[in-house]
Amino acid sequence: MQRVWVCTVIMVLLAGASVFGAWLVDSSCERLSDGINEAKSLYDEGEISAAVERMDALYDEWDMDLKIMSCLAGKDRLSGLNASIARVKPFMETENDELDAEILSVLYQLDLLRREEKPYYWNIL
Amino acid sequence: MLVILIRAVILYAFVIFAVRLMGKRQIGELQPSELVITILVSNIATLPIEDSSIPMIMGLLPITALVCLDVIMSGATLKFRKLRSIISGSPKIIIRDGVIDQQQMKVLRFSIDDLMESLHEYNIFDINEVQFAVVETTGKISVYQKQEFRPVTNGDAGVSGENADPPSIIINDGVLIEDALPTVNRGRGWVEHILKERGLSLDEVFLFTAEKNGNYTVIERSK
Repeated sequence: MQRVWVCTVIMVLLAGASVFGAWLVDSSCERLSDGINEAKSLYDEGEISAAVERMDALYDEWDMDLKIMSCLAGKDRLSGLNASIARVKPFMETENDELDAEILSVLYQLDLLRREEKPYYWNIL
Repeated sequence: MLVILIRAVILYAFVIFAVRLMGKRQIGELQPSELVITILVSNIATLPIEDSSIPMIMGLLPITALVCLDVIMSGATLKFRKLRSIISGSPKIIIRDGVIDQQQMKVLRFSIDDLMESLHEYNIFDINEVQFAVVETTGKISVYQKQEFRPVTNGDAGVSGENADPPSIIINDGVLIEDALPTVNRGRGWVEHILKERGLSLDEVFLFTAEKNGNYTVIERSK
């Protein structure tokens, strides 16, 4: 019966770790979305150097988050997101027309990543 | 490549841990639920090894969850008989007093060849010798022979004898197994005395077995 109790405890721990993992991905994605929106606002106000600085800080944060998220989400999705994020700063620096589209793409991918970690019926079925 | 190698080593260790957690019961005869778990675990474990883009946790988590669920379920089936019959089914009698229950055979989708094959394993070639045959929940057939066809035992023949434990291994390939000494009510000194008498060192002994009554067998290591 001791084995049954050990397994029950492990199951509870797994459930806890799964919820924590989902929260971790969610909060990382939210932080990144907020950061990108912030940088975009600065860019729209004409403060390009401040926007680029914000993106630099965001890259450092993303670097940390990426390591954690690599353990929790598929690497294919993360590498796509990583490539999109990497393009934002050079686009800001060169005032590229594709900046808006790239930012939208990043925000969409972040949103998708968040939603995929949550147990919605369409996610489970 | 190194990542895949490390993943394979970790998953190997993890699957062994998972099978140990399931317990010895799983290694012998599998219940339907245990068979499902075994197939699933072996399949899931290969995914993160083959595809390095899948995080390893995606393999470890479902394996742990499945094994834990199986252990919890088997614990629950011990307490609730009804649950046990739902999950594992119940044994079915297919031969009673030498008569095959054909209806039950149909339900179980057992052919006469399957039945005869199982009887042959018990050295039974005539259905009339069978008093009782049961299909266990594992799918194995257990057979109880009629009285007149059962082999004669010592008890039937009135041969009496003392019940004794089988010999214990005391030295295995030059290594003295200290834990085995109390099982034969002896100490290390007794072993050393026997080895001294025979002019052997511990390293020269391939196998040493002993019984409680003092009988022992020593096999020297071949040179």
